[in-house]
Amino acid sequence: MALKKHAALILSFIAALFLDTAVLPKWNLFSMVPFVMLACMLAAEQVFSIQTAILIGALGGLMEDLLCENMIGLTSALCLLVAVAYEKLPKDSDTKPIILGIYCGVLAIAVEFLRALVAWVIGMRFAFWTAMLYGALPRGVLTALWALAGMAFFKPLLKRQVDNP
Amino acid sequence: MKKLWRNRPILIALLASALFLVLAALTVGRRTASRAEDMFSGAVLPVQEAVSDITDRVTDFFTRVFFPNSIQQENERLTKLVSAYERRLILYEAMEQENARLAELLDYASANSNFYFMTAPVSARNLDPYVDTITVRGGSRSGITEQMAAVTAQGIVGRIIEVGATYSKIRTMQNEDMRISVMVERTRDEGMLGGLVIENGQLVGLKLYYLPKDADIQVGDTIVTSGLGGIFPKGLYVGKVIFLTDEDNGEYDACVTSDVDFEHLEEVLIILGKEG
Repeated sequence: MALKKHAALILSFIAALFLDTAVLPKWNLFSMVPFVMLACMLAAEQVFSIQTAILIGALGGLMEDLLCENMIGLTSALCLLVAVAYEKLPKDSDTKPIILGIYCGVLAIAVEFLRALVAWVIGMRFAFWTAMLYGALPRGVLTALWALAGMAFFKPLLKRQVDNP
Repeated sequence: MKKLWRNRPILIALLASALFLVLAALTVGRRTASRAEDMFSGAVLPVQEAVSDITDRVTDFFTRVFFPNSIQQENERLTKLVSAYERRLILYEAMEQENARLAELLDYASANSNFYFMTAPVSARNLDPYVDTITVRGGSRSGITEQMAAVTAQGIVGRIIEVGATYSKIRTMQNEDMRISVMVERTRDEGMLGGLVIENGQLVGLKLYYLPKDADIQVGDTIVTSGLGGIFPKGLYVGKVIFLTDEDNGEYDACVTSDVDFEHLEEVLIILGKEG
């Protein structure tokens, strides 16, 4: 079962990378693009462990930056900060999906905020509120939904693993 | 290290994120890739291309399945766009040609600055060899009167024979009844030009006659107006001698061809008068 868990994680990682770098930038609805790698990382953190999330966030962010020719390392750094923040949020095993969804959404918006902040610091022109309202907000909501879907996908694997160690 | 990874993941995450931020700061605004990046990019490039190709195909497939109308509309839109561009291209080419013709006329007018010229666009033509006339825009309101000369940069076109308020008719050199006093530019021998030389049903040139018997005319000589008769100013280019006739012929002495393309005339210059 552990093999299945790892296979599912690797496949999800590849799918997230593929979606973020190749599919969603080209094919999306009203230019609303979820951050699938972040969603994958948050789902892995919720269901498995923060170590898994750190690996996914660091590797995934780095590869996305390299593939999309962004500032190399920025996405990884933001993902890792989100992983730490998510770990520090109050959760227990009974935390309802809606609460988790809000956490994920807020963190996804925070990522966009930080990205905007970096852009401003390096002197890029930036319509801050427009980007927040029409970019970060829908992106955060969609990312939260993807994260919840990821949690629902990963959870059965973990349960079986616990049931059959 | 393994212990640290298990017990202090948050510390490791914070350190790693700090390192990544440093890396990001170092790569801001950098255009050239490092050797490591270059190698990595080289390795992932085929994958990236393959992924991009697959994505394009998948996108294309779903677009065709779910939005067939959008493709049709896009096709129609692009077809209209291409038609509009083709129309603009034709217009542009026409403007370019007109510009070249007008520039040529302007050069001619500048070279003959002792005359007052007016540009008149050709609006109609009758190319019957016996009644050969062209109609141009511009008439008495523009100061045109009968017997004025019409020229182009290639030579004399003809003279005004009829003037309306806004149009004028020009009898061209190719008219059977047209006569012009000319001279051989090299020898200054004067003669008369008029009447058509037709061989095998084809117009070859214009007849040059009344030259002095001892005139030293040669093939290739330039023929210009002599100024006699008062219609055409002296010294305007008419054409070149293309062949001489036998002395016994008697009808005409030489054949002169004009460089003016009468069948494709689009603008002419009307000589309104002379300075002074």
